[in-house]
Amino acid sequence: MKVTSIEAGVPGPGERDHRAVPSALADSLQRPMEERLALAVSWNRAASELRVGLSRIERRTADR
Amino acid sequence: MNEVFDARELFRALHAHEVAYVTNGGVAVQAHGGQRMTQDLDVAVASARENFESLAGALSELDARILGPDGRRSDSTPGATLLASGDQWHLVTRHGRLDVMTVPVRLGSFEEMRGRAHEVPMDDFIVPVASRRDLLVLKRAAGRAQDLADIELLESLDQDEGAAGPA
Repeated sequence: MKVTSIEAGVPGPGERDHRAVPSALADSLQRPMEERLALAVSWNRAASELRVGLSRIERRTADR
Repeated sequence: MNEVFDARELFRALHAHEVAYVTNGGVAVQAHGGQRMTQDLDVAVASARENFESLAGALSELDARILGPDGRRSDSTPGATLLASGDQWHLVTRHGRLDVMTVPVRLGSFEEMRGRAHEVPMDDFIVPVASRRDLLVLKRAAGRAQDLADIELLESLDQDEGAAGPA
């Protein structure tokens, strides 16, 4: 498996970086696509829940 | 409207209404190994009339609204006729953002793109995920900052699990 370019380069400020943890990518590529998709769906949902929760708190704080 | 992004529920609705689609965008990149998060689901759909009927049924179940460029939402769920009149729709649903497009000419027909897609099991249904090559074509055409990062990742993967689409 060739992942050398994943390890190269550093993202600029504000750039999203899916290469930030090369070992995580290497681990991910060992999993079947079914598992990667299921994990992605769960992670995205968790991140979204956090985002929605944070936004509610910010709104509540702003209303006070 | 609860807008926690839950791609599983979006997939479930598309499957339940027998929509012919292929997943592309960030979720597909993640399925190919990308580690970034995304907050919307992008799908390419077959442009046959009956598929727009199926899509309209799924969108009705999802209580979807069209999201305009000014951030305003349509008053009602789009029907098949409206959906068939455009190439790309940005939608807000009860389970988060859903972006729908018809297949760009450069990728050939929907059937060809679907034929190259990976059939990924999820729960009791199958999620079609675009091939790495098709994702690369779409990402190169879009050319946004996140697309360039995705291109770098996708090009670095020398495994493509069966895809053999156009370069």
